[in-house]
Amino acid sequence: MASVTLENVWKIYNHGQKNAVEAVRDVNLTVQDGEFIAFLGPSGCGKTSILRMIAGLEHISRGAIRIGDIVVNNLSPDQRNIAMAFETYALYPHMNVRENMSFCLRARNWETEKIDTRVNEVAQALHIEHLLEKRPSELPGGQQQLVSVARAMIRQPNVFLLDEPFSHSDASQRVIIRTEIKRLVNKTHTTTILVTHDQHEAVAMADRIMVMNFAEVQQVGTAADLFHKPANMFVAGFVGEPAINFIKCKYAKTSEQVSLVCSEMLGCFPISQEAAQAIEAAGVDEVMVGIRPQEFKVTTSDKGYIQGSVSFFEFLGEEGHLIVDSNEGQVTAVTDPYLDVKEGDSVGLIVERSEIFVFDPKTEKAICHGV
Amino acid sequence: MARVALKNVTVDYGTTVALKNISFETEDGEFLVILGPAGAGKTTTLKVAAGLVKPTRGRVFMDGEDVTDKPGNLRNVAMTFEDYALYPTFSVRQNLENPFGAMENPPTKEEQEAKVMEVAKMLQIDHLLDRRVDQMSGGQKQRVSLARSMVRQPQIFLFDEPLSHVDAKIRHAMRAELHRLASAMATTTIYVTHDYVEALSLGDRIIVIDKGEIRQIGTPHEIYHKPSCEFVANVVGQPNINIYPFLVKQENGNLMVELKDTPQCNFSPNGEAGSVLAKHVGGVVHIGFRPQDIRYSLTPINSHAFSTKIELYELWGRRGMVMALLGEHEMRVLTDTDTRIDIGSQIWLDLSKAPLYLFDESGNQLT
Repeated sequence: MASVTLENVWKIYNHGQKNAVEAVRDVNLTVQDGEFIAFLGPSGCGKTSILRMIAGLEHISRGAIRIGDIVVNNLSPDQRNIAMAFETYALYPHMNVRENMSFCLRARNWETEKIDTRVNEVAQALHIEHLLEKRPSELPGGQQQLVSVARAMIRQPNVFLLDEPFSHSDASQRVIIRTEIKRLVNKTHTTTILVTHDQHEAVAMADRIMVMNFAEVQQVGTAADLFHKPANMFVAGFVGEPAINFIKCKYAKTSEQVSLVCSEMLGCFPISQEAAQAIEAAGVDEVMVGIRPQEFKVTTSDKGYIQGSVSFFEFLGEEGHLIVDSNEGQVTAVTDPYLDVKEGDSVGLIVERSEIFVFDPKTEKAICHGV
Repeated sequence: MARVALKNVTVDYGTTVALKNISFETEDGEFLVILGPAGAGKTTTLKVAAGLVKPTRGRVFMDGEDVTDKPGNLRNVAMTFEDYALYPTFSVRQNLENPFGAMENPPTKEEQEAKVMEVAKMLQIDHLLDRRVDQMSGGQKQRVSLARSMVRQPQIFLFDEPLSHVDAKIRHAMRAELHRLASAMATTTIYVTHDYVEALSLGDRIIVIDKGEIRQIGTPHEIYHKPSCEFVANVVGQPNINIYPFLVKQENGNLMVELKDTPQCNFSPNGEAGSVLAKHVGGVVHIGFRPQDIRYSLTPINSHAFSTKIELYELWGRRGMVMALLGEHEMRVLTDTDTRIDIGSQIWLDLSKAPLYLFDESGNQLT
């Protein structure tokens, strides 16, 4: 087990040539010993390139990567004692599951009994005991992926790397598999890095999440940090479902009060002195207000910060989604599944002022969390 | 607008039976969703309605007329496909004008252009009309595919997983759009999906189908709250419903249920569920609990509560999902907040207040 440290790491494909592409730009990160961290971002954001550099499958263009205290830039993958599970399984087709799982142990000349014990232990933990004698080709994609994870977990590596390990499983299977992996990782306290584009996976599994976009780190933090203190509009929009409501507002100061007046909707938000100072310090007249759908409470139309009419209401079992039209705009609120409204009803929406985020629409950076 | 009905339809593909004796009828203007896992027979059902697959047995009716032997192009239905089925090298406009060519009495050129523009505006692709389809994103192609099915004003829309290739964010917006279109056009629609959220959101009624058979037809509330069997209960809702075997007992005149093999997990059911269970004293019933319905506490609550240890905790969007052992079973409980709870700590579960989903030992709804 070991920590992983990235110091000013860059990945530049076709370095020095005209068609050079900066896939990873100046990433700094310390993954603590035993920590579970997720790299989250849309496809092409650079998250897999970082993972491959840690694994030793990709040359590090600039900067240094340490595993424990050792700089690994010039170490081959097998000298790094890492284990990786691939999106594409990479299983040996001519071996059954047991042989696939035990391959690296046999290569290290483990005793047969020890190998059997370990294979059974991991297979049990991931609920694949009944598949041990099958060939990969006899299994559906989701189970092949699980075998790939099992093979990576079979020896106790310094660092465990997972590259989109659930992408081929269906939704409810995915929930079960991720639970099992989490349980196994909890037991062994192995430093784990998960690459995923699925925010639910990242939020459910990781201690901390590194959000990336366009080759750069956008924010590193716990799920709560990303939900309640998003660093910029990208993080606010990418994390959270349904997506955060962005509401264009004008900064308005009168002798009595300061407020943010909605430009395209019917509504305004009173704000505190501190928030007003932060907005003035940013030097903007127009701001983008961000409010998560889960933070809205539905009230009568005369009371809300935002007034509008019900566009439609979705009963979704565990929760309800209320879509409210207000002038030219539309906002989404997550509600009780049994909310008693019908199309066209006038409603107001209120929200705790601590959960109103203000962003600079030009730089897209957060000005303040809470007004 | 029209009604479509399938009566006792069976489809055999060689030795495999794709549909077994399916019967249903849409209402006029209804949005009917067919929900089921991969391979359940959803798309086959749609193809039977479209006239692309002929039933081995059974009949298909449109507005009372038997159309079983009528080819698809004469049925005035429009179908969109999961893989779009657009002409990749054609422009959007050419793709949208194409269906007119298959009509017996196509409208005039001017009418066609006006219709294409109207539909393109409705789906917000009017700025893309001269772009080639192979230069568009998946979400845009999906809209073009929807638009093409709308230009000829069919009597019935048939949608095959139209949102399966768009990402979660866009899917939410597209659901909103489909709501808007459905209420604006009021055209009878049959919509196939494997995603229960889409089904609950869009359907006036939902047909749940599995292994070629209908398991239940009902409104979203009926499917969610009164599932006909354990299969249906598991199809809707995430995390999945918890279902365990309980013994039904009568003790000192009080009705009790007791988790099989874990007598200390017991409670007195009352209300409607109580009167159903009273008919099964001495037997074993399967009781389902939705994860968000279970009352829980991290400190002792009352004598009914079952005390157990938290095996696993994960954030579930803005809530938390706790996994705790109930005897030898794992129980999933959805918490109200995203406040972290430590794995290994004690939790008290009060099952007596949760709405109960009752099934017999073979998994059918108990009444």
